[in-house]
Amino acid sequence: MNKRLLIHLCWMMLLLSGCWDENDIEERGFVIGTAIDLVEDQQANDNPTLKMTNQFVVPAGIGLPTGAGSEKKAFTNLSKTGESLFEIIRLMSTAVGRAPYYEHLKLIVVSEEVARQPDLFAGIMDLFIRDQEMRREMRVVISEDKAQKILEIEPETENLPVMYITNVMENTTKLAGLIDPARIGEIHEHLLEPQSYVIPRVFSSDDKIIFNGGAVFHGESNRLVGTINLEEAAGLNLIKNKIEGGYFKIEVDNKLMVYELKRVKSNIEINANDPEDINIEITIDAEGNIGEMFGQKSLLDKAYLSKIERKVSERIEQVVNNTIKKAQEDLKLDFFGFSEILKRKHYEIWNEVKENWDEGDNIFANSTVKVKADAIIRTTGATDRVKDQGSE
Amino acid sequence: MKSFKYADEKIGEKEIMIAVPSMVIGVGILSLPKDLASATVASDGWIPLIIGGFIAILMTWLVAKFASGFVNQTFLTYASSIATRPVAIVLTFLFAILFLLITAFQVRQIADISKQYLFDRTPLEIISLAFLLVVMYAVSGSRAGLFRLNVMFLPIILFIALSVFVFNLGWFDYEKLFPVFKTGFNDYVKGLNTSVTSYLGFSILWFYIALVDKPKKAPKMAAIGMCIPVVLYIMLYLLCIGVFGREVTANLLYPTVELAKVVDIPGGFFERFESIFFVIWIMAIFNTASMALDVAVLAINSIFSKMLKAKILFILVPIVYIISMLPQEIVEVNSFGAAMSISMLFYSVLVFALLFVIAKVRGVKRDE
Repeated sequence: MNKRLLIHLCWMMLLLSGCWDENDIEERGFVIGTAIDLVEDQQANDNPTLKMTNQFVVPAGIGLPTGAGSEKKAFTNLSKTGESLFEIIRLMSTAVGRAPYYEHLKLIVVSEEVARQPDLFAGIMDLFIRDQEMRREMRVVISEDKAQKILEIEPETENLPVMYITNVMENTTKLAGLIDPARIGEIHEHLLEPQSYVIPRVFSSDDKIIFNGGAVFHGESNRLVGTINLEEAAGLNLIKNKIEGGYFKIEVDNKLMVYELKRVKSNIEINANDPEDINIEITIDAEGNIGEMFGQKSLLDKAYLSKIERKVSERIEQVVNNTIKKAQEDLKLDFFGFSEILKRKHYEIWNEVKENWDEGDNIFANSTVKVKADAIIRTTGATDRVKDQGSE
Repeated sequence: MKSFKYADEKIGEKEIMIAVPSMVIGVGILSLPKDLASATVASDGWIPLIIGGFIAILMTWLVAKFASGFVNQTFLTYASSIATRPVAIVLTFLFAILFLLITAFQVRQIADISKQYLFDRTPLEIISLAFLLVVMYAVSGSRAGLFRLNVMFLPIILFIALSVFVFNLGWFDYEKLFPVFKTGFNDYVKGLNTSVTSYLGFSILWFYIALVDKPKKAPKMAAIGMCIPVVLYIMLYLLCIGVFGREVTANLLYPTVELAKVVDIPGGFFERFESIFFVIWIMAIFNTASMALDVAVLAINSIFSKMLKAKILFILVPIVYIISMLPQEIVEVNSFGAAMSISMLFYSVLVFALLFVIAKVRGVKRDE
């Protein structure tokens, strides 16, 4: 190599070194969960004051997989208040040694109090959608109580509360009433579209998280207007074809029996020829098996099985009808996405009715909804009877 | 330092087939779904995409067919023989300016997008300068080498686009594609405008066909090459609508980048897919920018044939850099891009019509 090349290479090093966006991983404070609450206002401000609590991971507290970890907690929560979340985030950076880093944010908890404020929910979500550090996979839940309390849960099985909560959320196959966790990407869709929607609702008790149905948001104002309980949420899931599992308790001949759902398929037909009287027909086909029974009668009897199947179908219809009743009479909101189906299948009629669908004349509340369920029992489990017939 | 010399400065028909999609696929597709979705209802945007695609394929074929009638003649030579030398010089010069604008736009867009997603604190000026210097280095070398780079990069680019497609199928909800055919006629026209301008790039054929060894099959090859972006764009567009829905697609600035961000390979061992997507897509934009700059250099060089290529480059690159830094914010960048594509489209069609008609009237002989 000649000398000139060497000199060139040397001064080039000046150009090639350095990086504006250098950020060492050791100096990053990973935020995995955030909670947003409302603070009572001392000064009469126009904008509500918010409190943001971030959960930071403390790497030293996670310890080794062998369990020989330290006594330190694996997380720390930090709160700041302000009018804008961006402002709070920046204020927070001045209080922690590690710069907060949001790319691994997994969970956003918003308190019901905040969601009930006019125009606030969409404003809060804005930052999480707009900022390029945020991902569209973050989950959003609504907490009944202060949102901060959810992040303060100290689970026994896991180090990090947020990990514990997201793991519990994945268990939607166990309970029919667990609403699919809302991703921020979906919420972006909901915010942009006029349909009403439901976000899972939680509360904490005894260091455990409890999923309690869902919070119903008004599509136009994006404001929490009502809540549904677990059973109503099950009805919602049945209609929306979102069931991955669950069970129904029924009583056959005064004996308790549990039907375990394995597969559910729902079909919604909307007959909208007459915009004044829209007919919505929901057919639900369920498939499952007997999970538990307290009776002693043999199940390997066609007539008896049909009887149970009928009971299950009736139960499903009852659950779904209750949810629809709640939507039509109580909340007067279509949070099932019927208007979306109307838009997809009957675009012209949707254009006619969209202004008055679940507000104004409220065509939705006055439409006829028919539910028909058909449940079948595939197997009875590993055994026919567990007890002998006893006194029967 | 000595640069490696390729055997000759000739390219084959296959290189033309690769060069056309390499030129077309650039920053356009990153924001295209947004513009199309805001004009149309639900998934109807695929109709303007396919019609625009046909127009683009047809134009590609026509231009290639016309240019390949003059074997191994540069644009300036055959344009002079058709429509006198002064006219040909003006036409060539305008082409050079348009291609410089394309380069500037690509440089600016990639700098904007990388700043948005990758380098939060690095100044825009530095990102675009770094990118432009690499493009300049590529152009300063052998032209045939540039084509070989295309051949090398395009399969990788298509592969990464395909992976985005496959990994997103899990989020795909076909119901979001409905209702179909509900867009009004005027909105289709608006969408068509967006889609046709996104397929621009066939204009390179005016200049590159001259380099083809035996251009007999070049028109067919170029048309086949044009099919690649058409299919790719329709796939990515439908994917955007199916994953995000029409409303969200119309509101995301770069829906295609967001698609890459959504990718989440199960098991959690690979999460940040967009970083790879970016690296690869910068290669695509590099191809587009370097070819556009190269054509500009080629055009200027054909006018001032005595000037050294390196000298032309050193004059042009600062101009490109200044143009790319002129727009102040995103709205100005977008209107700059729109104005540039529209003028490129009309100019290409105009030049074709002009040369074709004069050649027919004056009976200029083409060797076929």
